[in-house]
Amino acid sequence: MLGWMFTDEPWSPSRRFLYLGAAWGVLAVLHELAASLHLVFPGIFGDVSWLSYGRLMATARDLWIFGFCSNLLLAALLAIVPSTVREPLWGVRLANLAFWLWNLAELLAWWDLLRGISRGRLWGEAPPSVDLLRLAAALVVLGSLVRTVRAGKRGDPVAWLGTGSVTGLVVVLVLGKGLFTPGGNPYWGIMDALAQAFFRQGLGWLWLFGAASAVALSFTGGRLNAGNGNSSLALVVLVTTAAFAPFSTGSEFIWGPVPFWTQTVGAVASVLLLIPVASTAAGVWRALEGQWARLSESPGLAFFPVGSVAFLFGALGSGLASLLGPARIAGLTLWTEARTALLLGAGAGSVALGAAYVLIPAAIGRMLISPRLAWWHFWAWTGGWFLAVGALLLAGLVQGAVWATGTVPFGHGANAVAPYLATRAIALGLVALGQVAFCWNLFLTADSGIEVPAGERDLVLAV
Amino acid sequence: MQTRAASLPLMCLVTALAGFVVTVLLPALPLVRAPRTLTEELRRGYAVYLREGCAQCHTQQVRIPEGRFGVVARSGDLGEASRLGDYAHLNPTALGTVRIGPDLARVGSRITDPEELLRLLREPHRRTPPGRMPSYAYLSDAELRALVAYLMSLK
Repeated sequence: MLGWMFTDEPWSPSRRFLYLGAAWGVLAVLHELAASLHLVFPGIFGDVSWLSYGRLMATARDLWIFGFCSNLLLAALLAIVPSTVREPLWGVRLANLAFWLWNLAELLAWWDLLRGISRGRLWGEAPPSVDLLRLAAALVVLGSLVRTVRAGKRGDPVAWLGTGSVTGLVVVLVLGKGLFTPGGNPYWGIMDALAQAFFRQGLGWLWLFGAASAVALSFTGGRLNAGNGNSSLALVVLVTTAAFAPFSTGSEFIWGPVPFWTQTVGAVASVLLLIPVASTAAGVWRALEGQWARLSESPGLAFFPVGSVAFLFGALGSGLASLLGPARIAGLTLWTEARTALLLGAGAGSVALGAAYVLIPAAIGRMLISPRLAWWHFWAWTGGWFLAVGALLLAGLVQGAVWATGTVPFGHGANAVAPYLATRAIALGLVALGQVAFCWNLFLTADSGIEVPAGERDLVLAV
Repeated sequence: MQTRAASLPLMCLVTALAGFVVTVLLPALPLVRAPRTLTEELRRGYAVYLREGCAQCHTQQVRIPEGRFGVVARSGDLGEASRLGDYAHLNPTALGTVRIGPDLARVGSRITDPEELLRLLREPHRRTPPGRMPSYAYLSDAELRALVAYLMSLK
């Protein structure tokens, strides 16, 4: 049993992270769909405590970030870092240990959050025991990646960016959740509000965006022969994300009850985050230039431009909403949810899925059994997020306009956004269908896909 | 001249650190925390508020442009703009980031009858016009009353 759990088969950590990432992805979107149905049909789930809106939303977000996106991005990082530095992954058994720790934490978080056991924070709600398991897993992965990079035969900024994003995850977990005092939350008052915002911003930018950028630049660069150019862009992404993301915290509180200087610093940093996002998008689009036809050969590759565009619009929306004028209208409205959907849903999610599809032949050792089903997944996913983000953006503008009148009661504005919330629920239904199709395709591939010869598995990721 | 140029980043850093200590860190320290503390019942109510994820839909921050101007039911009833010290006694805070329901920073000033709030939490669908508020009838009577007490304390 222990031999199976901690096997030293080189592809085992990536394969396992890939399988569970896909499974958590279905659960995450079903939870979010259930929560969104609450807003369309109030009282739909009766008086069942674990199906209440607040608990479902907290669980959905945790499953999405730590279960779905993180598992798939970790699967990709454990593959691309060794591939880019041309050195086998150091400590495969340790990487498998990280897999078990990470997913045990996710299982506990799922169970705890639905039962109402939480830290009471908006995003980072899982109890400290779960956070400590996650921290241990992240440290193990970080150690494994750092040793691999140091032993590597060539330095590569993509590998540094990937390793840097895991470092970012460790920093965000420790500082954002105050894990340096495991006995409880060390932050009080506005310090806690800023720490929570740091956790949200850091998780999105330092971890998910950093990892997604490394994966997108590596996979598009490697597959489409634009490796060197993308390496220099990876360096730009690494430096600018590390420099600006930690300071974007105050941008969540424009006009709010935090010191004005934190708002100003947050707004400037939020606008400057367009640099790494635009660099990633430029890398992906430059790699695709003149080879757009190749996208039709691979649904996996098609996810990368979608992800990079979503990140670009998400960063643009965040930068815009952190300016004093637009913040008066857009602040605290559903526009905020639209930005989150762009960055974490369509952005990080698309890159994570693209990585999963590209990884399948190498990690599982079988060719994807149904590219047709993968294309269905792609269109349901892309269409779903386009619809959801569009509906939330419009809903946010309607809310902002109603509040700005100073005469229309809040309830009227809330009723005015009902059609948009219904559209979001339909859109999430589409995304959920796509995720189920992905899981089914993955299951069929693992069960009866055509085997890839052992010697060719590494070539899939050749950079 | 060179020395001045070299000391500029240091001055910026010291100023930023001093600003952080004075405006963020000091107000968060127990010694200078606002005297207002939560009683046992309010603490239980706040725990229910956090556990049930009320902050997923409700904020507790009135921003400067909407202070004394924002509307929940009547013009200006959103209350005054929130201040830094309003949160000094909280761990964790629940400012929220999005309003699907109205802001609750001054809800105790808008709703004066605790029974009305209790009815709203138990049977929100009976309100006219019906909103999107989910029912919290699954909470025990003690939990509901603690939650109502906490909400009524927000003024």
